[in-house]
Amino acid sequence: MTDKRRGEFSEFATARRAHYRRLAYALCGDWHGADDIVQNAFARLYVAWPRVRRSGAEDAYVRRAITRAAIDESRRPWRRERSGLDGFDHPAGTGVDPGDRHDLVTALLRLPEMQRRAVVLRHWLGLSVAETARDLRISEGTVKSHTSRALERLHHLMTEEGTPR
Amino acid sequence: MSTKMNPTEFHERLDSALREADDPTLGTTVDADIRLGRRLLRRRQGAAVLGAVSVVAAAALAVGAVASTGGTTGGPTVAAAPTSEAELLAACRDGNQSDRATEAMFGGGDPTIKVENHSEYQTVLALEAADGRHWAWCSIQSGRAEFPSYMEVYDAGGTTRNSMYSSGAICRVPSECHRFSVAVVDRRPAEVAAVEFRTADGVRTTVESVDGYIVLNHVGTTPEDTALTPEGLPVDFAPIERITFLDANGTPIAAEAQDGSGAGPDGEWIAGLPSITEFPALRGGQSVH
Repeated sequence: MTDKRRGEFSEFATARRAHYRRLAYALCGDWHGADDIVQNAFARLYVAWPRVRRSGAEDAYVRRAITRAAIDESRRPWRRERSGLDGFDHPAGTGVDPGDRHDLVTALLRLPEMQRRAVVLRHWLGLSVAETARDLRISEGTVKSHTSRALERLHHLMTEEGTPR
Repeated sequence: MSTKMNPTEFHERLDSALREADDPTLGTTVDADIRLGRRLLRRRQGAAVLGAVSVVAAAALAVGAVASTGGTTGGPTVAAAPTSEAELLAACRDGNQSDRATEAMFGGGDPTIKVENHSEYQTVLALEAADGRHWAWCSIQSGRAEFPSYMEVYDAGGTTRNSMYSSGAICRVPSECHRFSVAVVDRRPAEVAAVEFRTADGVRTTVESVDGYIVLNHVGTTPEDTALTPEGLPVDFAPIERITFLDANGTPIAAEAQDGSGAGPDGEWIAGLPSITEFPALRGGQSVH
């Protein structure tokens, strides 16, 4: 039983992990944070595997776990280390290097949380309005307004910062 | 002229950005997912047993309260957060850290809880491994159903001039949040008998050293008119404004301003006192991963 679970789970996780890692990164803007989120989501999937597998809802389960975990993660306290060497270095975040972020990812992170999630699910993952609404537990009308505002705001952010379009 | 980004353009640009930025050699593995999943399964099975024990303990507490006040009604029974030594150690052992870190702390037997400090948000522990070679900071968050605990494990043999804190907003809507949690677990030389922390809410908290271990676990409130970042923390937030090391008589022996309000090029020096780096932390510079 355990071997069967492990085999099926490994096959799914190996095939889909990179994709979901990028989703997590798009939502949180930090690869280390994305790795934590994805690992937690897949670990939860492993626990729920028999039930989720039977219903054929593996992708929906991981996607929702990541989308919701990204919110939890943003609320989680973080550790910061102050350097005591030769003066003072301002504390650095945990693995975030804004210089490594693409302009569009940086702009995404400046959106309100729900707009960011809505636009990524709807227009990067390609979910329908109804699917996006279900994942985010909001109405279809709210999905439409969030995605519309997000695209408008992204346009302004990318233009005002001089990024070629 | 359009005032919105085209959805197709958004998809293509984000797709390209994510592919460019991704480094598939980094990140965790499917095997690590499975190990974590199995640990979570074990903990859920254990939690079912602990849950039953907690209900009994809470019911006993309710009976005691009624008896002592002469009351006539009992309130609802609420399962208690882990408080016994065995429960706390189990939560730390099963935390969301690497197997290597867990092994360093539990491989030689149960570690000793040197200090425990509870707040409404979390329990923070300083643990010392049975063989004395490592010590750990363990946090157990109260409101999280999944992965509520975590250990940061250090080599006890080294020293570092760095100091560490953990802080974050603790409200459900970070952008409207004015409550924060800040914690420190540290180990300093014997000359440091106590440490006074002044936190961002202006509160001064003095914690005694226990065999060198110092634990702060504070929940505070920032003014309502403070500007917040999207993460729910005040702009330019310094959760700890000042740290003062005290000797056994309560006399300051070192201090540091962490909010830039002191002297010197970075505003961290306190007049008349040496830096806290004169009493370096008793741990290696890197935690065990």
